[in-house]
Amino acid sequence: MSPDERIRRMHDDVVLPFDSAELDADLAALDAELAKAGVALRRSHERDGRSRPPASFASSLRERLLAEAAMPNGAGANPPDADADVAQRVQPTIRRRTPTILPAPRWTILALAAVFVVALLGFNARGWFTGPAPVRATDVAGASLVRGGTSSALAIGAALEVGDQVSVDQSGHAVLAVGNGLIRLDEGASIRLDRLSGDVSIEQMGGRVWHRVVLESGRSYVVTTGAYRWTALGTAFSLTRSRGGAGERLDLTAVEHDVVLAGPSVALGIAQGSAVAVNTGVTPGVYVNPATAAQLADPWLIANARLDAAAGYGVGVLETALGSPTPGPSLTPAAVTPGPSLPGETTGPGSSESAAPTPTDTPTQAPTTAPTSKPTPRPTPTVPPVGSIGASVIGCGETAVVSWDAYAGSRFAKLAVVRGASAFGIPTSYPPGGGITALGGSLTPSAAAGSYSDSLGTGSSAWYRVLALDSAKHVIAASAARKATAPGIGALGPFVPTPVAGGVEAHWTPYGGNTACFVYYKIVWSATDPNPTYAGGIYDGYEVVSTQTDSVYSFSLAAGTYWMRIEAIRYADAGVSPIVVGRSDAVQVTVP
Amino acid sequence: MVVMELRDGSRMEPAREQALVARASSDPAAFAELYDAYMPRIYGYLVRRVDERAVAEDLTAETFERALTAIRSGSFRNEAFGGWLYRVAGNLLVDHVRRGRRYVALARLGDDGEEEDALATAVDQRALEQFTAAVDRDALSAALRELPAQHRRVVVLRYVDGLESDELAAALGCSKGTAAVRLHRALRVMRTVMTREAIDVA
Repeated sequence: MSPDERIRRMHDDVVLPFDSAELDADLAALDAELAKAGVALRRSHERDGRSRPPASFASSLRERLLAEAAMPNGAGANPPDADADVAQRVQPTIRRRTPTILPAPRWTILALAAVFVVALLGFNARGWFTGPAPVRATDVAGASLVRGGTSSALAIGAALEVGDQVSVDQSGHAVLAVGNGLIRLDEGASIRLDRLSGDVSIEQMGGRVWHRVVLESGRSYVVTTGAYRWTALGTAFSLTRSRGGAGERLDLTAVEHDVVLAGPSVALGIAQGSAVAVNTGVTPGVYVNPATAAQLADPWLIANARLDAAAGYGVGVLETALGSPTPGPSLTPAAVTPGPSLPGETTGPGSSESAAPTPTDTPTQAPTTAPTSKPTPRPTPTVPPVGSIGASVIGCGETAVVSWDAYAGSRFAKLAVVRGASAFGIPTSYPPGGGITALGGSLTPSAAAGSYSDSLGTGSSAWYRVLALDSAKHVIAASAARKATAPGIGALGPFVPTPVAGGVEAHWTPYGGNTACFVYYKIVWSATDPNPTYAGGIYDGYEVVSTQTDSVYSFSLAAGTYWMRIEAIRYADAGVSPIVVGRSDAVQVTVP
Repeated sequence: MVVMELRDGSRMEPAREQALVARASSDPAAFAELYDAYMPRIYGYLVRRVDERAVAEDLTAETFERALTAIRSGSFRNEAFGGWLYRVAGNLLVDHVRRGRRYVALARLGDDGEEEDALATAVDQRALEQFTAAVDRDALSAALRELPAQHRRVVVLRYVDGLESDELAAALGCSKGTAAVRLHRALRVMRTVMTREAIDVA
């Protein structure tokens, strides 16, 4: 057998017998050599600190986990003694209530469950388990229904079925309730209901549509636009399908939570706050960018977000925009805000190829049947909608500072901050899964506005979301996901302490970084340590310079030789440690 | 013949580990001991596979949060707590890699199982490369470089991460016997490659 042939055999697990794990001398030597090399590698990494967890991280995580471990274990197993007590108390009760004709409570339950399952199977189980989502028109003007090839005017309250096509004329609109979610069709939009049993699948044939998705666990919501499929992972997005250049243009704004796009040669997660443009024309491409302020100010998005917010839904990335006064809600936008330009296409009001709604300079008067600020009537959601909390995040020094507004809603028990390493999917659930970290130190029973500092390291980025929890740790409100990048500790330029009689006159270059990160200076000194710092507690003394624009300061100091520097500090709350955001080099000065 | 034994001096005594796991649902001190014993190892496992320390820290935290949840809910049944941690950390890594990919060729999305295996192998690649670079003997280094994908995981977990047999089995989601056989096969493949290299050189 040639070596190559042997290698082929060795690579094939099927050919090799499932033999015992005994090693001949050669393999034992190889095993020992590899094990020794592995130990050497791990020790080397430990020595150079590469695989050693930072002490601050290790201790803070330990503290947080132990705090959680010490909390009452509601859902978990109780201590053995407690279990025994409960069993002793409950068992006689069960015995008394169980008729003697039945063998035991658990067998009775199993038997009843088996009968139920058999009955389900006998009655077309698929229909029972995956009943179609009820769809009906709740608000209609100028819309038609095509069913079985026959077109008719769509009436308010009409129940819709799989295969139905709804089209809105150029001065109309339509709102469809899909289960507990809804679809708002703008003028000129058209959709077809392809699947409603369990999973929901909709073909968006043209125009602009707002999708507010409320799904039962395990169900999916898919919108198809030709060869492209948009799967909602969250709850709200706006999708526009229009002519563009030689092909089509698809524009999606992920308003709340994420959407997954799959299409020819592309599979892509679209994070909340992103805008996607797909061009299927001569120069096909998929373009993903954070939605610009202009895009998020689109009256169409704002109007829909206002309606949803009034109905108690979260509005994700638009919650900030809703804070500013805008005209009353109307499903007809004042002007179409164009999405990002794509190569090889003509966009804008003058484009004759665009089938998108024609923009106008003045707000279109809403028709009499247009929606008002009153929420569209529809079934009460079975899942309580998650409210919203205003939050912002900035990177200061080596830290991300997450700040939030006061939460005034009911059922509040605690507030927490969660962090993700990427923009993809920070869920509004707690504790979060999938690699998202609950920052245990942020957990607070206070509903007041506050902030939390999270150590990141220079140049690192993270995404944060603030969550309000009820007493059962269910999320009752959430902020939009916000990103912060830690810029690192900035250099303050030359620091020149000049000895004067009985003290020092210090000169420096004022801090030029983000003013939101800066509160005051501290001049720190040490007679023994060449690297004094306030944040690390390494100093013999310090002076506070509270005027941010100052560049000179004189103060008294006992005679002696000191290492001295100036640090720019952010200090926000009593419970949050000061953060050093700027620092000069330490220099030596001798006070006579 | 030498019967394969996997051992590493850094491991907590299994009996002690089991006792701590049993107590940890109601005794934070027991969980603290488990955390102190395994956190550096899990962090090391993760940081050998990702570029950013922040990601390693996030995934380490998530691993231990899941461990605490599993213990407190009484759902933890595995005998090798360490192996279970490695498995959770590995799954989190795969999730992390999957989330980080912005574009994926659709041809690679066909089979969930293949995709999962490919990602699991991919997350070990960085650790294997470090190991390969650290090995002195050229023939051994070549054998590691040429190690077929299906054998890489077991070799990396055993030698780079230093997992013992029960941990290895838990991390791979198989029995101890199967883990040992997989490792045996991987070693045999490596020996064959080294033999071929020797013949080529000659």
